[in-house]
Amino acid sequence: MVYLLTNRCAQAVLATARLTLALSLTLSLGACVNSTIEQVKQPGVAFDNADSIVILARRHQNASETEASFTECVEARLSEESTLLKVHPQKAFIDAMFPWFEPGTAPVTTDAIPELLANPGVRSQIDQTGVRYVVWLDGSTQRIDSGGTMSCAVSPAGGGCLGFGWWEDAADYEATIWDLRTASTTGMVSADVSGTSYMPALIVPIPLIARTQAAACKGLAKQLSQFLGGAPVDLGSE
Amino acid sequence: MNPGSNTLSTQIRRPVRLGALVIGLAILAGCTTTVPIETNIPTPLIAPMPVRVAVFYDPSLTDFEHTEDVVGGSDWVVQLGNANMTMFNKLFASMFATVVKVDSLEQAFADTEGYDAIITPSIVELQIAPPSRLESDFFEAWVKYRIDAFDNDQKPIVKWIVTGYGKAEPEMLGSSDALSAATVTAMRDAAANIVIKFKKQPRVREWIDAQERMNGLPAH
Repeated sequence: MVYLLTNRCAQAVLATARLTLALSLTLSLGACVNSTIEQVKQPGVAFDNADSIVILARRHQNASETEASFTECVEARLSEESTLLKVHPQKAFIDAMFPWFEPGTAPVTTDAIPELLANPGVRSQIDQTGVRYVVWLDGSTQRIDSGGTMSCAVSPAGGGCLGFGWWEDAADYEATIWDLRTASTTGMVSADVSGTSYMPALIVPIPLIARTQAAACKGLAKQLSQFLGGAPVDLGSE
Repeated sequence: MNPGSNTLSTQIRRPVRLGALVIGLAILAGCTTTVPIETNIPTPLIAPMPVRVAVFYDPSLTDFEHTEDVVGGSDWVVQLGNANMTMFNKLFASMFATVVKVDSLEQAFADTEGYDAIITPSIVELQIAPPSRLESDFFEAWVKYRIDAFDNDQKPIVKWIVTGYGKAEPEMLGSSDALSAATVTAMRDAAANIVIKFKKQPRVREWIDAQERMNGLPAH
């Protein structure tokens, strides 16, 4: 009798697990991201690979400022995308230029570059770093919608969850490329990525995460790499 | 009544009481988290003003501590004194041609030939907002400093308030480190403002121009 009960219980657990797996596989097809990457380039601009670039984030006093992790991701991926591009480390650049590229003191438009370079020591320090192009990143990843319900319970016989949850993230980023030598904007690249994540739960919750921010980072870095003359790009939706 | 048993009882009770006291103190101490702030502000990239200044650090700046009471959580004691000293030493060394630290304002005022100006920075306030208070994802910090400058006739040149703001994500750093990072960022923001904006204050600009004219240098 005990054997029979145990066997039935095991069968029920197996059936539930199969159902969860099937549901997860079905939904995993849906847990994807949609990307739109666009660029605007000034005509006649030719980038010189002898010069370095630096990736900087615009800082705002609100929650939607560009995440430090995103800037680091773009910096790392850009270095991976092309060995031709020389990417100067962000922190080293900001420290070397202190206090001129701090959140509250950095130039907001290219019109302020000549005034910045006129300060004693600034031009020579920039020359020393080898940085000619500044890539300003602006934007953030936000949760725009979510829904579903899930309840979990624990008893002496065991525990588990039942339900279904989902959420949608939108990653909107823009990269503006400045040429410090000509004090001008040479182009812009934008990444508009949205992704929906799902979490079905039949005993065990299985998160199916849409890596929205990572997709935006990858797309932006690829496009920047092409923009700056580093590598060919394969664009499209993911 | 056996006097020996009374002594034994007392001997047992004392360590028990002492132990309870130690445990009690440990619990109380556990309700407060001390966060000593350390800054590593880079050397500013500026040309120093051609003046000799005496700097006096009031103990209220160098011993500054801020206690943040957190409802339902442990309190934070943010120790900013050393960081204040480190920051101002670095800033003033870059901002002025000659900097001499003095032990009191009286000492600086007594030596009118030695300096062109006397500067005394002070901290007005530090505000900390943990994520729970603002329903945000960040620790946020605001710091407000005041810089008083006097000429060597003890006349005030300027009383200037400067602020700094910083925030940090506890998710990535942990609460204590995020609080520290937010405060350090706020100090760095204030430092950048001091370096760039102090000499742009109209009264300071006028005074610097007068000093340059007096020393035969072309005024800006």
